[in-house]
Amino acid sequence: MNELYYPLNDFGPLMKGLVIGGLGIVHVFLAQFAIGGGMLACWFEWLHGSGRSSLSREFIDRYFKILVLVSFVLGAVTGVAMWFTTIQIGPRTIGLMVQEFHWIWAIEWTFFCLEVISGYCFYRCGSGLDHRTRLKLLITYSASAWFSLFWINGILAWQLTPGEWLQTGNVFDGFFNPGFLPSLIFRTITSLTIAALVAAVVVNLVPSWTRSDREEIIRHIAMLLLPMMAMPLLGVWYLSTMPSDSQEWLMGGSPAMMMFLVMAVGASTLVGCYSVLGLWKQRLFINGATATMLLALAFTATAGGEFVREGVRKPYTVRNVLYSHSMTLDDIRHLREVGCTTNDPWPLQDAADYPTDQLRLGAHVYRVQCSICHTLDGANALSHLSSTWSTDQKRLNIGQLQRTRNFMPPFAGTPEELEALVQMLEWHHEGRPEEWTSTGSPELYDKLREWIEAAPLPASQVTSEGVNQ
Amino acid sequence: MSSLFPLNLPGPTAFYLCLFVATLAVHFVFISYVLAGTIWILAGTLFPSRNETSPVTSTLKDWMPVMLSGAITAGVAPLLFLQILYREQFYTANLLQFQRWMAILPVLIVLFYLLYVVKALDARRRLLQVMASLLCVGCVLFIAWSWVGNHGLSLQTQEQWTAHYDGRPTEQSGVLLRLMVWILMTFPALSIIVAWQRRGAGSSDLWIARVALCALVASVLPVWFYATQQSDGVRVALTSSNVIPWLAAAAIGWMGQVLGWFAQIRLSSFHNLTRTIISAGLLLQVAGVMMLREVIRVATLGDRIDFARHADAATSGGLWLFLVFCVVNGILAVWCIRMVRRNHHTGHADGALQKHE
Repeated sequence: MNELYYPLNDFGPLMKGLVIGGLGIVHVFLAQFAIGGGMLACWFEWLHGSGRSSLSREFIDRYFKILVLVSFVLGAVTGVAMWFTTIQIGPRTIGLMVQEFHWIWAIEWTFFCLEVISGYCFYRCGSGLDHRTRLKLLITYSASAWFSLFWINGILAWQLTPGEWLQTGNVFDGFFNPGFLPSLIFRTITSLTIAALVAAVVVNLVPSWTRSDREEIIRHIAMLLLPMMAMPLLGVWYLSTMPSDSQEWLMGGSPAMMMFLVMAVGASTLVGCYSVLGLWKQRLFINGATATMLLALAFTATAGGEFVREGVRKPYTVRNVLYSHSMTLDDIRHLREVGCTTNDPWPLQDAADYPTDQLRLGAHVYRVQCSICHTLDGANALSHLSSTWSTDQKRLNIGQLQRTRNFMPPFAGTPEELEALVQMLEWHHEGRPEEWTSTGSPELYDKLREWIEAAPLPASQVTSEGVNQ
Repeated sequence: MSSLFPLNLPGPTAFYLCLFVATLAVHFVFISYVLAGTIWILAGTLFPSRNETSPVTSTLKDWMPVMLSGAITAGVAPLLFLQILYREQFYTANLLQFQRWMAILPVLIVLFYLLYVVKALDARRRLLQVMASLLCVGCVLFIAWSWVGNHGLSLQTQEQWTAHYDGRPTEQSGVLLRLMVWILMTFPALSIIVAWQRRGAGSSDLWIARVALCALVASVLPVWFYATQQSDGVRVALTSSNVIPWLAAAAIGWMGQVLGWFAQIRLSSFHNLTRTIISAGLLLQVAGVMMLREVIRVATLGDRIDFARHADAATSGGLWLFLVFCVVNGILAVWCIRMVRRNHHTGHADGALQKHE
C-alpha cells in the first residue's frame, strides 16, 4: 500500500490541528500534574517523617485521591486519545515515530506500568502503611512518573530538533537531541508548579481545617513553586536550541506564534510573580478562588506553550524529514511529475457536490495537501486566507507556497492540479454556483509549471525512512 | 518439517509477532476482568436474592477501577507492536471507523467514573445500582464491539475499504461471532482470577466454577461457526503442520480448564492444585487462540504484510535497554506489591490487597 494515502476524514469547521492541540494540552496538563503530584507527595511525606508538619500525612492522602481520580482516569485515557487522534490526523507521522522510537516507547511503557502499580498501591493501602513504606512507595511512584516524562520528552523534542539523527539515523542521537535537556528541565518545573497549584486548591477543600492549618500547608507548597524562577533562563536556552526560522517566527515572524508565546510567557510570569513574591516571600494566604485562578493561568501557559511547540515545527511534522502535509521532499518531487491525486485509491466522498471534473480534482487536491491544517470555511479556512487574492495571485502564491509563507510546505502536484485547486477556491468564493466554466490551456499549464519550479526546494538528503543511504 | 508458526515467517516479523501476542495476552487478563466482571456485577444487581451478599460481587466492585486502569496500561504495549506489524491495516481501519472509533475514548472515561460510582453506591439504592451497572455493561460492550469491528475492517481488501470510504460499507461477516467468542472466553479467565484473589474463601464461591464451566462449553458453538466462515485459504493455513501445535494448545487448554472446573465443583471447595491446573489451561488456551488469530490474519492479508518494514524496524536501537528496564521495573513492581502486603497493618476501606482476606 502507498503510505502517502490514507482515507482522511473531514473534521468539518474544526481545524485538525486545533483538535490534536486541544487534546494535547489537556493531556500534557494532566500528565504533568501526575508527575509533579508524586514529587509533592514525597516532599510532604518527608515533612511528616521529619516532624516538620503534623498535617502533611492527612493532606497527602486527600491529595493523592484526587490525583488518582483525575490523572489516572483522564490522564491515562487522554494519552490513548492522543495516539488515536494522531492516527486520524497524521497517520504517516505517527507511523514514522513508532517505526523509529518503538523501543523508547516500550521503555516508557514499563515506567508507566510501574507508575500505575505503585500509585494504586499507595492509593489503596497508603493509609495503613508506616512512614518508611509510604515514602518508598511515593519515591517509586514519582521516579517512574518522571522517567515516563524523560522518555516521551526525547521523542517529542526530536520532532523539532532531530539533531545528529539526521546524519546517523541512530535512535539515541535522535533521542538526546539539542532540545531534549532544556525541554526536560522546563517540563519538570512545570510539573512541580501545576502540582503545587492543585495542592493549593485541595488545601482549601478540607472542611475541617482551620485557617492556620491551611497556612501551614501553603507555606510548604510555596517551596515547590520556587524553581519557577529558573523558567526564563530555561526558556531562553530552549529557544536557542530551535532552528533559526522557528526562532524568527516566535520573535515576530508569525503573529499567531508570537501571540501564543506571549500568552505562555505572560501567564507564567503572573503565576511566578504571585508564587515567589506573594506566597513565598510575603507568606500570603491563598484562598480557593485565587488558587483556582492561578491554576487556570497555569493551564493557559501550558496551552500557549504547547501551541508554540506544535507551531514552530512548521512546515514540518518531523524537521527536515516529513512536511506538515505528511510528504517528504522526494514525494513532492515525484508528485509534481505524476500528480498528487493520480494514485490515490480513496474517492472523493462528496463528489456529487461539485459541478465539474476540474472542481472535483481541486477538492481532491485540497483533501490530500491542505485539509490536514486548513478547513474550507471554518478555522484557518483557505477561503478566508485567499479571499483577497486575484486568480493569478492564487496560482502564484499556492504554486510557490514555501515562498508565500515560509512555514508552509511546497506545493506537491502538477500544474493541472494547481489550477484545479485555484478554481475550486474561486468557485467557493463565488458561493458554490451550480455551473462553473472549466479553465486551463497548454500555455497556462506551462506558465504554472514555470512558477512552481521557480521556487527552489531545499536540498535535503533525508527520507521518511531516516537517512538516505 | 516446517517451523512452528510464527517462526516460519521472517525473523523480525516473528519476533514482533511474539511480543504482540505475549503483551496482548496480558491485556486480555485485565480485559476479562472488566468485561466479564461488569456483566457479573449487573447480574448480581439484577438478581439480588441470589447473591445480595455475594463477596465475589463485592470483590469485583472493589477491584474494577484498578483493573480497568490495568487494562488501559497493559493495552499500550500490544497497540505499539500492532503498529509495527500491521500499520497500514490498523491505521486504515481506525480512519474508516472514525467517529465510532474515537467514541471509545469518551465512553472509556464514562466507564471509569461509573465503575467508581458502582463501587461507592450503597447497596440499598438498587435502582441506581442497576442503572449504573447497566451503563457499565453498555460501555464495555460498545468498546469490545468497536475493537472487534476494527479488527474485521483491517482484514478487508482495498476494494472493500474504498467502498466503505465511499459510503458503501461491506457487511463484515463474523463480527458478532467473534464478539461472542471473546465474551465467552473472558468468563473462565475472570473466574480463575477471582478464585486466586479469594483463595481464603469457602464453598460459597463455587458458583463461579459453574459460570466458568458454562462459558467454556458454550464457547464451542460460536468457535465452530466462526471456523466454518473462514475462506479455504485460511482453513488450509489453520490446519497446516506449523499451526497444529497451537490448535492443540488451545484444545488442551480448554480441556484442562473444563476438567479443572468440573473437579472443583465435585470437590465442593477450592484447592491450589485445581486452581493451578485451570490457570495453566487458560494460559495454554489463550496462547493458542491468540496465535490462531494471527494465523488467520497473516493468511488473510498475505503479501499485503510489509515484511521489509518489520526488518527495518528491527534495526532501530533500544531493544536491550527495553529488556533491561522491563526486568528492573518488573522487579520494582513486585517489590512494591510485596512491601505493601508485608507492611499493611490496618484494615482499609477499599479492601486493599489480599493479605486481609
